[in-house]
Amino acid sequence: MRWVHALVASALLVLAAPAWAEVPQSRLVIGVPLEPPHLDPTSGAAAAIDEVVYANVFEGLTRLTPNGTVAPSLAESWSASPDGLSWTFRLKHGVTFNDGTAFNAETVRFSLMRIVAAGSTNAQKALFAPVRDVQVIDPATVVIHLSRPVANLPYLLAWGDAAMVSPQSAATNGTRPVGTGLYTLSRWQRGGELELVRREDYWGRAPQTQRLTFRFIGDPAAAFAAVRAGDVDAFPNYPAPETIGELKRDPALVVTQGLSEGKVIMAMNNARAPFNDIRVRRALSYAIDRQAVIDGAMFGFGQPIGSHYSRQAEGYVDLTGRYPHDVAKARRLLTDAGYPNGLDATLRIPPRPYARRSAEVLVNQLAAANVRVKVETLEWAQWLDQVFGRKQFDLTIVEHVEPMDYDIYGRTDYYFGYNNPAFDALLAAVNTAPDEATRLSLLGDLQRKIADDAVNVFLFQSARIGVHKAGINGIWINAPIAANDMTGVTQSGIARGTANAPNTKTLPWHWIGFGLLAALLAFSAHRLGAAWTAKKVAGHTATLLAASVVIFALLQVLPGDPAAYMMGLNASPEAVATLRQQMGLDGPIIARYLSWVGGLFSGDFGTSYTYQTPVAGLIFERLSVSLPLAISALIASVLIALPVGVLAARYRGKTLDTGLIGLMQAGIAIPNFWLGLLLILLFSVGLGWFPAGGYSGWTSLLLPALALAAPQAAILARVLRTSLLDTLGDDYVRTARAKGLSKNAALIRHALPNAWIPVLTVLGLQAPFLLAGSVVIENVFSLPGLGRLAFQAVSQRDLIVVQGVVMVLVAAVVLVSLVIDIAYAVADPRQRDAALNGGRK
Amino acid sequence: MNLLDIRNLSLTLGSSPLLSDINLSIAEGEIVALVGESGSGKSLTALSILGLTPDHARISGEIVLEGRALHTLDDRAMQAVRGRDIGMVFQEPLSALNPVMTIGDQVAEVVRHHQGCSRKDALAAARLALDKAELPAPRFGLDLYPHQLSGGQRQRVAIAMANVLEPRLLIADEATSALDPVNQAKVLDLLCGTARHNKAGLLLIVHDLAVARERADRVVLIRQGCVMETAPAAALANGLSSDYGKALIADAGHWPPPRPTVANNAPVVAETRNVTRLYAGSRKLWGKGPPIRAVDNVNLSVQRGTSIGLIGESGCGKSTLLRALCGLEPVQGGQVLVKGQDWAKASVGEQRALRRRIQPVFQDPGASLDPRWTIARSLSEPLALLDKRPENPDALIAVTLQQVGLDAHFANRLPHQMSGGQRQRVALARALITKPDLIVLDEAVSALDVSVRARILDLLSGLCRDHGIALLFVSHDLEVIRRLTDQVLVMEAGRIVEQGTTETVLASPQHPATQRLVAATPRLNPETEPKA
Amino acid sequence: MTFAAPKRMRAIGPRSLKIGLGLSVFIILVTLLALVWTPFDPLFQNPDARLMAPDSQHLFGTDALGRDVLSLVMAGAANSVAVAGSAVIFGLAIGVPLGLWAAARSGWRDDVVMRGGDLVFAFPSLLTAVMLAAATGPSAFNAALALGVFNIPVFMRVVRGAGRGLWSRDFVTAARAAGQSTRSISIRHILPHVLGLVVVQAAVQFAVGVAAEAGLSYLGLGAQPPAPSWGRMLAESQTLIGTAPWLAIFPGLAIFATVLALSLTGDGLRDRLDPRLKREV
Repeated sequence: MRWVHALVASALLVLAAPAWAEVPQSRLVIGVPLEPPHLDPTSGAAAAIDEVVYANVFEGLTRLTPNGTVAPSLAESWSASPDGLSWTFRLKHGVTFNDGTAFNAETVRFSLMRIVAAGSTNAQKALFAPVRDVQVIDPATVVIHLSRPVANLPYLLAWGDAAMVSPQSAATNGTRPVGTGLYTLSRWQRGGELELVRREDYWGRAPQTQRLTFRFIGDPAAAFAAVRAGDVDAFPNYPAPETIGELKRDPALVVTQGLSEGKVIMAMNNARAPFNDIRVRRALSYAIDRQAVIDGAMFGFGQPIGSHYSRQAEGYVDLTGRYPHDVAKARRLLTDAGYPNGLDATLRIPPRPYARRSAEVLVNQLAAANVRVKVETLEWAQWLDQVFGRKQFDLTIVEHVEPMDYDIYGRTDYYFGYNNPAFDALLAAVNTAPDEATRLSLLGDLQRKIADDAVNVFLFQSARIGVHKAGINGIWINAPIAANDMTGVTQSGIARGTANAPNTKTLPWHWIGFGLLAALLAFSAHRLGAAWTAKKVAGHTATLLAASVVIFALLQVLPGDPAAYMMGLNASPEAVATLRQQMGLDGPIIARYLSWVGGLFSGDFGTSYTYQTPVAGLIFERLSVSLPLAISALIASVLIALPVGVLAARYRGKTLDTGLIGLMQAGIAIPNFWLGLLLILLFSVGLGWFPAGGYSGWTSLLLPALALAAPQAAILARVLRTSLLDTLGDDYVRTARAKGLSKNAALIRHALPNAWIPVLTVLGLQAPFLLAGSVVIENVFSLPGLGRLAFQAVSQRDLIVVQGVVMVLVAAVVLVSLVIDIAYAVADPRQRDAALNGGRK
Repeated sequence: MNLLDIRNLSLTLGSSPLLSDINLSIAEGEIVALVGESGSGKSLTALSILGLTPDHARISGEIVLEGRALHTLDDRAMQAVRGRDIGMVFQEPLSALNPVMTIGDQVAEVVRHHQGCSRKDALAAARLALDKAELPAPRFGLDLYPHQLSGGQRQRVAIAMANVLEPRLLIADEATSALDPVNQAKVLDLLCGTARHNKAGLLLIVHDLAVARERADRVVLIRQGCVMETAPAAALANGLSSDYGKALIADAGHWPPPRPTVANNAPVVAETRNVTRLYAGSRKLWGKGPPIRAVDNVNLSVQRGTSIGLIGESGCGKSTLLRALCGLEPVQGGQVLVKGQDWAKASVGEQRALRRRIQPVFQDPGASLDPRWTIARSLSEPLALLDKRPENPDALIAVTLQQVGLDAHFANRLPHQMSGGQRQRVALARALITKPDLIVLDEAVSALDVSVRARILDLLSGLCRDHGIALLFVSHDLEVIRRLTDQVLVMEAGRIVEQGTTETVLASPQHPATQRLVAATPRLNPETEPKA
Repeated sequence: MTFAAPKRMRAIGPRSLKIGLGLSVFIILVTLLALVWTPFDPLFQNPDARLMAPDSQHLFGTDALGRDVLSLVMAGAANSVAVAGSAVIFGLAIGVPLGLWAAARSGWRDDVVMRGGDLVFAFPSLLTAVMLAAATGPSAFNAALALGVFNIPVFMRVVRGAGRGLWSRDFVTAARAAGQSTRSISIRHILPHVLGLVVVQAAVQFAVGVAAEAGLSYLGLGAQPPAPSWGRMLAESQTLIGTAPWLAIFPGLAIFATVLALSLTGDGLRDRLDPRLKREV
C-alpha cells in the first residue's frame, strides 16, 4: 500500500515538475479579452485575430491611423481612374516577409485574388466581390480593376482581411503566421498567452519593445485583478467598465476612454409580424431611453447612436434626437398598429455581458410601453445558428464591430430581414459618388434612411476603455478597427520584474505515461495475479469504449455549426460551406466515429477546428497546468484532512471535536469559487503576494489549489473521522487496548490503517473531480487549464477538442479507479487474496 | 493469597446500575467460570478488571491483582498491566484480530510494546507463542493474515497473543461460543491447558453450563449484575443452593416428554433425491476452477409427524440443504420433492401451494422479523400462500399467537418491543400460520437462554405430537438433537455420512465425524446420562 | 459479548440536526415568502439608487441596476431550490427503482446496471453538465436535468448497496418462503429499510445541487436573466467586489447557508438513523 502511494506520488511529481527558465527582456504584456482561434486574418472574421496580428505581424497595402484615417502602409501612394473602376497602387521597396520571402506586385495580386477566388474562406469576400482583376505593371506597381466603383477601396484594403500574404505560407498562417510586420510569433500557449518577438531582419524602423505578450483574459473580474496586481502592462480593450472608478484612483495607472467601432443595436426581425410594421418598430424606438441603457448596462461608458453608423466615421450625422424617449408616443403607435394591449416578444441574446445587461434594462423600459419581453440567452454558437442563420427571433441584441458596415442593410438575406429598394439605390449611389462631398452627403442620407425606417433600435456605440501603466505611450485610445497596433509604443520608467516564460521543451509525455501504466500493471499482476489484473483492465477498457460512444453521440446532438462560429457575423454562406467541408464535418457519422477512435489509439486526437493545431498537443499543454493544480490540491487536501480527521476522532465529543466539525461543515458548504474570489481579494489585490490570475509558473497555482483543496479537505476529514470512529468501535481495537497499547497507539497503529480504506475511495472520487471539476475555479483565476479548454471549446463548437478533453478526463477517472482498485486490493489482505483466488465473492 | 480479588465492584452507566457488589476471587492455577444469561454483566466484569470500561461509567469497589490495587491505577499505569499481567481473549474470532496486520506482527506487538525489544526478537517470541498455541511453522507462518485462518485457528492466535508474555491472569470472554463443538473443545483444551501449565488464573466467561461444569474449578453465577452464587463446578451437576441456581439447573435439565413413535408408513412430506448443489468455482484466467459441491448427492425423506436432526461441523452444507428443501436455492442435480412434487418443475402457482407446506425458522430471532413491521403484518405475510384469504385474518393471527403461547395483544407490537424468546415464538407462529406439514429449524434455539429454550422446545414437541407437523432440526447442540428427534443424519463436506435413529447414532457413532461431534459435546450431568 | 461498546458515538450530535432543520425551515419559509412578497420588486430597476451600500431601506444594498439585493437574494432562493430539488427528484425517480432492481438481481443484470452507473461516474460531472446545458441551451430546467443525470447512480448505489445486504437477511428469506415475489419484497421490505439512507442522501445531493447550480449559473448556464439566480449574482458581483462587496457577500452567504443547512440536516438524519440500522443488523 505504502509502496503504491510512493510510486504514484513520485510519478505524478515527475509529470508535474515545472521547468521554467528566466527570460529577461524588454517586454510588454498586453491584456486582450478574447483569444484568437487562429492567427490568419484573411480567413475567419474573429476580431480577436486582428487584435493580435494587425500591423504587428500582418500588413496591408494601406492601414488605418488611430483617428480612423487611411494611411499608406505597403503601398506608398495610390490613385483612381475617373470612372472609379481602376486603382493604381505604388508599392514600397525592399519589403520581405518574416520567412525571407520578398514582397512585390505578384504578392499583391496573389493576396487579393485569393480573397475573391471560388472556395475562398475570407469572411469579407462579399466586400471585395467587385475586384475583377489585379494587373501587375511592374514589381512595384499594380492596378486593381473593379467591376463597379468602390469609393472607399483604400479604406477596405486597410482591413486585416486584405492583409498581404505570401503564396508559400498562406495556407499555414493560422498557426505559423508569416507576414511583413515587425513581429513574428514565438510562442503560443493556448488559453493562456501568446508571444510575439521582434524581427531582427525587419525592413523598416525597429520598435523599442522586443517582446509583446498578449495575455488572454476574458473574465472581467480576472482582468480587473490582473490590472490591479500589475500582471499586465496595458489592457487597451478593458472588459470591466464597472471597475474603472477604482482604477482611476491608482496613480500608477492611466485610464483612457475612446470609441470603438462597436455599434450595439437591438435588432428586430423586419420580416416577421409584428416587426414588419414600421409603426411597431418606431414604437420600440421611442420606448427606449439610450442614456439609461448606457448608464445601467455599461456603467456610463458608451455614446448613444441614432443610426447604424459610427460617431467617428466620416460623414457621421447625429440622429440620436430622431426618436426621443417618449413612452406615451410609443403606446400610441402600438395602438395605431393594432396592439392596444401591447404585445409580447422574445428577446434572444448572445451570451455577452453587454447583451445581458442591456437586456435587463431594456426589458424594464419596454414593459413601460406595454411590450412584454421574455429573455432567452443563447450560446454564441446557437445564436449564430438560430438567430443569425435561421432568423428564428423577434428581438435580439448584438454588437456589430465591423467599421463602415452599413452595406449589411442592402443585403437581401441578412438576419434582420430589411429590404428597401430606396435604400439599395442610395447604397449604389454612394459607391459611384463622383466626389467626396457628394459621397459624404449621400452617406448622411443613408444614415437617415435607416433611422427613418427604424430598422433596428440603435442603442449605443461601445466605449473602448483602456488601462495601462503610467509611462507607456503610443497605445491607441480609439479603435477605428479592432486592433492593437503596438508598433509605435514606447515605454519609460517601467521596472519590469524578470518575466517567467514557460519552457517550451516538452517531455515525451506519452512514453512516460505508458511506462508508468505498464509498471502499475506489472506490479498488479505480480501482487494480485494476472487473471485479476486482466479482468480489471478489461472492465475498465469496456467502460472507456462505452464512454467514447456516449461522448461522440452526445456531441453530435450539440446544435450550432462550428464553421459558422469560426467565420463570424459578416461571413458569406459560401465561405462557411467551404470551411465545413474542409473540417470534414460532412461525412457519415459512423465513419467519423471510427476514424476518431482509431486515431485515439495512435495518440491522434484530431485537429482543433478553431486553433487548427493537433488536439493532443492542446490537451497536453493544458495538462501541464491542470495536473499540477489537481495534484497540489490533492496533496493539500490530504495534508489538511489527516490531522483534522484524526484529532476530531481522537477527541470525539470534546470541544476540539465540536470546533473541528464546525470547520468541516463550513468547509463543505462554502462554494469553492466564492472562496477563490475571497482569496484573490485578500492575497492578490489586498496583499499582492500572489498573481491574481493567469498562469506564470507554480506560484499562480497556490491560491486556486487552496480554493480547490479546502472543501475537499473538509469532506476527506469528515470521512476519515467517521471511518475512524467506526473502526475504533471494532473488536481488534479493543484487543489492542487489552494488549496494553495506549489510546493513541491503538488509534494510529490499528484503527488508522483500517480507516484508510473508505478514505481511499473518496480520494479516488476526488482526484478526477479536481482535474475536471475545476472549470469554475479556472475561470475565477483565468487559468489555462483543461476545464476551461473544454468550456471554451463547447461554446465555440470545437467538437473535436471537446471530445478529446472529455475522453482524456474519462480516461483519467478510469485510470484513477484502476489505481484505487489496485491500491485497495494491496492495502487489504482479504481483497488481495480474493484477487489471487480469482475474485470469488 | 488469591491471585485476583474483586471486592464490592459496582458500575453505573448513566442512571442504570449495571454491576452491583460483585465479589469474585481467583487463586493461582485456578479456573473460575463466570456464568449468566445475556445482559447479566459478565463481559462488563471482565472489562472492569482490564480498566477498559466505557468512558462515562462510574466504578466503585476494589480490584486487586497479586497485591496491586488495579482500581487505583491510571490508564497509563494500566497500559503496563494489560497484556503483561492480564491476557484477554474476546468472543468473536472474526473481528478480534486486525484484518490488515499479519498474525506474527499482532502477537509480536505485545512483546515489543512491553519489552521494547527488536522486531526480530519479538517475532521470535511470537513464533514460540504460536507454536504453543498449536499453530506450528511452517504451515502457520508469521506472515499470514487473519482471514486466511479458520475461526478456531484465529481464536488460537488470540490465545497466543494473550499468552505470549505468560500473564498471571487470563480472561476468556465467551471465547468459544461462536465455534462448533469440535473446535470449541479443542480451543478450550488449549486455553485451560495453558492456564494450568503456567499456574495462571483463568476467568472463563460462558453461558453454557455444561462447559462451565466440565472445565472450571468453581463457578460464579451472575444475574442482572449481582452475584447469585459461588460454588464448586461440580455443584452444577449435583445441585446448587440458591433459588436462581436451582431454577437454572432445572431449566437446563428440562426436556419435553418423549413422543410416541410414528408408524413407518406415515406419508412422506418432503424428500430429496440425489440432490447436489454446486457453487461456481474460482475464476481462473481462462475458464473456471472446479465447482464447490456444497451439497453432494444427498437423499433425505421426512415423514409426517416425525422429527429429524441434521448435525455436522460448521460449513458442512446443512444450511444449504435446508434452503434447497424450502425451494429457496436452485439445485444442479437430483430432485427436491414436496408432497411428491418437484420444486423445479412446479409452476408459479404450484410453488405457492408447495411453500404453504414447508416453512422455515431461523437462528437469530432478531433478524428473522422485519424490524419495521408489526407482528400482525409479519404474520399475515404468508397468508398470501393460502388459496383463499381467510375471512378474519386478525382472528387467525390471534389464535396462532396463542398457539405459540403469546397473548393476542402482541399482534400490534414491533419486534424491538419484545424479548428474544418472544420473537422466536413469533417466528414460529409465522411458520405455523399456513398450517404446514414440515417446519425446518436452522439452529432455531441456539441463541436462546436456557429458560427460554426449554419453553420453545416444549412447544415444538407438542406441535409434532398433537398436530402431526414434521420437524427438521439443524443444530450443534447434540443434547437438543438427542431429546427432540427420532432420527438423525450426520453431514460432512456436503455428504450424509451416517444416519439412523437418534438413540443408536449418538450412543454408538460409527463414522469418525459423528464420533468427533459426540466426544466434543460437553455434558452437564455425566453421571445420570449414558456417556457415548 | 453482552455489553457492546457503542459502535459509533453520535458523530455530530443532535445539535447539528436541530440547527440544520431550523435553518432549512427558515430557508424554505423565505423561499415561499419570496413567491408572494419581497421588500421590493426584485426586477424593479431604480436608476437613481445604483450600487447603494446596505442601509435601513435596502438591508443588503442595491446592485448596478439599482435593484434591491435582499429581494433578489430572496427571489433567487426559489431558483436554487427548484433546480436542486428537481435534480434530486429526477435522480430519485430513476435511481431508486434501478437500485432496488439491481439489489434483487445478482449476476449479469446487476453487473450491467452497476457498470452503467460507473460509466456515468466516469464522466466529469460539472463539465458534462456544461456540455449538456450547451447542447440543450442554457436554462434552469436544463441545468436541473444535467445535474439530475448525475444523481441517478448516486441513489442507485446507495439503494443497491443497502438492499444487497438486506436480501441476505433472514426476514427476507422468510418473506420468500412466504411466497412473496421479488418485486413485492423490494417494495414492501427493502424500500422502507433503505428509505432512511435515501432521505439522507437526498439531503446531501440537494446540497450538492445548490452548489453545482450556483457553479453552472456562474458560468452562465443556469437560470437566465432577468430571473434572479445566486450564481449569476456572484458572477456579476465579481468585478465590483472592491467597490460593492455586499453584492458578493450576500448571495455567497445565501448559497453557503443553504448548503450548510442541507448538509447539517443530512448529517443529523444519518446519525439519527444509523444507530437504529445498526441495532437491527
